[in-house]
Amino acid sequence: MEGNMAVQQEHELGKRDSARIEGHTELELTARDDVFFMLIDLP
Amino acid sequence: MITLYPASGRNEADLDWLQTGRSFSFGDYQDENNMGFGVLRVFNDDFIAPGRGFGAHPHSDMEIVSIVLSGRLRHEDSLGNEAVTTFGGVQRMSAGSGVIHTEHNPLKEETVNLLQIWFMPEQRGKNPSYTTSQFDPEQLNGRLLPVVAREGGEAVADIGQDLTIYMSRLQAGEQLSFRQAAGAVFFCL
Repeated sequence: MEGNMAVQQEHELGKRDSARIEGHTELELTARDDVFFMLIDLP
Repeated sequence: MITLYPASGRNEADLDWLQTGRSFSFGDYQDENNMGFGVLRVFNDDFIAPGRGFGAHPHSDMEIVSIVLSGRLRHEDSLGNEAVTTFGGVQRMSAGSGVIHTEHNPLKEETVNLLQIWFMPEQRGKNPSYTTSQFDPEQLNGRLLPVVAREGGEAVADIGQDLTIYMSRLQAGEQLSFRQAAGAVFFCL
């Protein structure tokens, strides 16, 4: 995993950071630079 | 609610042969306030030294996904499965009523980096099973590529839980939208 990106334009994540997200039906993901990431959609 | 967890907050361990970053309680790291996120129980970022690995050990009632980011990972289990995966390869083991396995880095000079991801199963006590799948890394570009999902599919490993693991590569400035009806999302770089 690598790079920097933003979730909902305001939550900034860098390499090896993570986020736990609840209650959002739509997420906007923006790459600040070249990124490689994982997203797990949980029940 | 969006809660960020910086890399510096992961539990890091260096066992000489294994360097690992643990997002949730695991092994000798136990925090009763960090036992998982929904059905996601373990998320370990492991670096295994050449020629080393996890010896034979049992699992039960856990859906275990191993995704190799670099290097090679060799798996053997008590069901008779043997496999070596590289980047693009995904291993899914449904431990069910019980299985014993080993995971090793078969290379002599290169470290293997893998993500070990454990989920609570929908059903306990099922017959254990193991599968591998292979996605095309080129398909990661500019999209959310499913690599593990409940129903599986071409280049998608199936799993005994209502979840989907996506991976993606974006170039600077690219955007993606992700929609879901309900539930939660674990997101990591």
